[in-house]
Amino acid sequence: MAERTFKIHRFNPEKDEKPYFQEYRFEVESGWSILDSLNHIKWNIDSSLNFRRSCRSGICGSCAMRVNGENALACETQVKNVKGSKIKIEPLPGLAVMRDLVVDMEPFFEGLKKVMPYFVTKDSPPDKEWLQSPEDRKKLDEPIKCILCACCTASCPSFWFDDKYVGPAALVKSYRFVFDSRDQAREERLDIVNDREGLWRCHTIFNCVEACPKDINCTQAIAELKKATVFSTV
Amino acid sequence: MFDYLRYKWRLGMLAHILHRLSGIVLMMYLVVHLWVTHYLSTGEANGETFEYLMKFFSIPLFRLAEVGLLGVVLYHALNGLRIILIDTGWGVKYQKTIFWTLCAIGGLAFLYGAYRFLFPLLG
Ligand code: HEM
Ligand code: SF4
Ligand code: SF4
Ligand code: FES
Repeated sequence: MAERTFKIHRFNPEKDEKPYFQEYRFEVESGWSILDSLNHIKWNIDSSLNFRRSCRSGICGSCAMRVNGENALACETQVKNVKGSKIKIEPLPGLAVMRDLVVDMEPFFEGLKKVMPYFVTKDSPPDKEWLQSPEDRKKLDEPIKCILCACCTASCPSFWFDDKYVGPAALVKSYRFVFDSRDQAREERLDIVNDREGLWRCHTIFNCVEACPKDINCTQAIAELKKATVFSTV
Repeated sequence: MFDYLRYKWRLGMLAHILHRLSGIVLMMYLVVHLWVTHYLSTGEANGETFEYLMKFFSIPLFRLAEVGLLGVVLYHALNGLRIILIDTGWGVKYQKTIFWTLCAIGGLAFLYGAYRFLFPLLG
């Protein structure tokens, strides 16, 4: 048990002219995550606080927010691992704030929709399922861990300045299908990401890699796509 | 924009911002450089203006500025190589190690260069 101070971004567009910070100080029980602490505030201190969450176990991707300056999942971040006298909690940057810690995710999903985030097959389906060798399956280990939380895309300076950029999460999704031996739309996919609002907006800043709660190396995926694009067009 | 810059700074961000700043400095230098060297071809009294400018630039202040330029060139060139490596999928996981290794190489080259530039001044 230890007392901690939470400095939380507040904004209610119906009442407030500008966003402001509100502080809450209380005893944090051992083992509490940031999400447990937010729930404690909402249930016992101030029910007007708004944030998104669902699974509270790092699966749904709802609770992404900025904790002490860096994007993270509230439910996967242990309070005891967060340094500093105050824990500053803000909404994801680069997306419009709708209320308190809730942002408009639409630009994020727009980017995702652009990269055809679904299987495409052209041959007629086999009798049973589409088979894949264990080696080919292994290539997808990393990208299929993505929970679409937007920690990465909302940490990317290229996305902050241009939300038409599809962003690292969408590029990881594109990678997931381009390098899937069963998919049959490789050329179309590469065509989509070979765009100034696609691969070439990435300046290898690595904020996305630092932020991803699933340890996905987005920049590696982007590099592989860059290579695939270059070698499929020359 | 300044709101965004409050995002936690990690090595990749620092490397990127320095790369952009050094790129801009190099662009500005290139303009001056082209302006100065173009006097070589104007034939104006057999490159008199060029000779004059060369004298003007030989004062210690510009010697020092040259050392600064060397640093900027080294940073941009070496980090540029790091970016090319990353863009082609090499050593992406080791981007930080690569950065510091190149810093060490660049640092040594810088010290040697600075010595060569400034040695004549020490007389
Ligand atoms: C050794 C030679 C050089 C190498 C290896 C190199 C490498 C690079 C690379 C890889 C980039 C892309 C950065 C990114 O994606 O963010 C870049 C950007 C840039 N370079 Fe160079 N460069 C070199 C020389 C120069 C010179 C001589 C100039 C000046 C005339 C220059 C000016 C710039 C500028 C203005 C940018 C844009 C900065 C940005 O987008 O952040 N570079 N350079
Ligand atoms: S790549 Fe990582 S940070 Fe990005 S959406 Fe997927 S899980 Fe979240
Ligand atoms: S590596 Fe590329 S995609 Fe990731 S944060 Fe940097 S610019 Fe954005
Ligand atoms: S609440 Fe589902 S990922 Fe955090």
